[in-house]
Amino acid sequence: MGCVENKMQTIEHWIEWKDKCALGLCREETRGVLQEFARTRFRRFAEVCGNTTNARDSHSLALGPSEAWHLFETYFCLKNSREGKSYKQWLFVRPRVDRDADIDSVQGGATLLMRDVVREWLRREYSPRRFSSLDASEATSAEGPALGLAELLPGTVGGTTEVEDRELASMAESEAEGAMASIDRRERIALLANAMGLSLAHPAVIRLADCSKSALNNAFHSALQGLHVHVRRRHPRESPEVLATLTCLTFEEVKRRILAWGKLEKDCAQLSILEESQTS
Amino acid sequence: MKRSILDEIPGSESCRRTERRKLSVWLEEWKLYKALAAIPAEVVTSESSKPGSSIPAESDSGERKEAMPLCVGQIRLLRPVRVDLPSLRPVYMFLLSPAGGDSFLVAPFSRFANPALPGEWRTGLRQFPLRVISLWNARSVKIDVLQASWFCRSSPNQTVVRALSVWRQIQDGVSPDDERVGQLGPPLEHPLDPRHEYLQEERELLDVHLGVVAAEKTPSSLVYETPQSTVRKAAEGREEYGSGGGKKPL
Repeated sequence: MGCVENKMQTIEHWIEWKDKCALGLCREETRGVLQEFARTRFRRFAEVCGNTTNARDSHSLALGPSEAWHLFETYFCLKNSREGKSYKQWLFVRPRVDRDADIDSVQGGATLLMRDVVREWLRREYSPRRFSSLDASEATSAEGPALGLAELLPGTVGGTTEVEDRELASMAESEAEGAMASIDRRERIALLANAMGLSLAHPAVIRLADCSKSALNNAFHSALQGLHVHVRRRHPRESPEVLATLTCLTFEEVKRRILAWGKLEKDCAQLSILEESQTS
Repeated sequence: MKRSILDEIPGSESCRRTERRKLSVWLEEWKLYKALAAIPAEVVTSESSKPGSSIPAESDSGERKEAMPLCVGQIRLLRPVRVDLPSLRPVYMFLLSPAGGDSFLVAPFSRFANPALPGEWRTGLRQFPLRVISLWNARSVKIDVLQASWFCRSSPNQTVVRALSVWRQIQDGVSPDDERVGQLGPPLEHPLDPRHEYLQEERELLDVHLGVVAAEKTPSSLVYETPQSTVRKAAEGREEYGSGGGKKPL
């Protein structure tokens, strides 16, 4: 492969691969150049992710050129036919930024695809169960320790009776009422759009919120974080188990109230129309 | 993983543990995805390459529009868009059912191997991009938008029926069938769950591909044209893929 390293990739190499269906049918030079492309992309992605896996060393994250290419070429292949390899068409008609050369556009697309290839390889080679437990922290919280799976998906609080369950539900209603008072209009619109299944990037949602997409996104996350903090602050002595259940119940109640608020707000009527038109 | 009868009882501790296990597996994929998406493109694409010539006229989906009319059960690849989103990828859509005179109900496939939510269904298909379908993100899409996509393959009627049944359950807010529970993702309950971010990313990605949200660098991104490129448009004549020149009958 020594000679390959000196060869530069050109669009002709990629075109040859596209025309011939599979790299195995291409000239030796093309095979070498594209396999080397796959090897280096794969290695760079895999190395960056290395510390998030339990890989022993970076060598174990490297693949040979032909192996890396094989993973790349087969990942998006849905069927061994022209149609089944439509990802090739996708690569070659990617819109370019003004000064991009064709080679940049195709390689940029191939690099994007390689991200998924590497992720799948890491997932399969370094099984999640080998480096994660059910109690591992999964979400960050501004106050207190990060949340674990038991908090993201709390069960029934140990030993609660029906009466205690009702009490928790009633507490959640009260917390939701308090939380609603501190959720501003922008946050409400973000929560409303989310509850309706609309993207926060949707032009109608952005117009309604009268701010930028990123400001609306920030408002959304700040509202979610605020809810969590609100419940924690009000019940500092409760166990994590109770707090998690109460937070989830409060969140559910807030969503109900936000949807009710949206129905009453004249300006929000357009979101309801959008919501309906998405699947009808 | 062997499932016990207790796994089927909603709200039971065993069921919760199963849901947490599902979430744990999905979150591992999510963490890897986030780590990879955070790598700046220039770090990866700084290798030597030379522009060479431009892409020659190439085969396109134009003729396929006539050769392969849209029908339920098809899996199609949406046209690429120029947009700076971490979730950018080839978006494969599943045609679920006709929706009115000029639309189809379609749902995108997830990029992940495991379902994230109860609205995502493990299809049982082997191909990596088709393992999970995001029925929660189903949309009614005009035929002319779908016609610009590439036909990839068809799916058995059984897959369509099952996907539609899950979609209807989501719409009606009813619990999934017992046999289906294991093929769906875990519920989303907590405000700080990372899946809120995932939902927003996926909605936006689809909006951009369907033209609801403008892609960057429009209008060039919509006409697939650059000063250096000689890529043909859909209406222009084209060569057959892989043939080295010959025309394929329509």
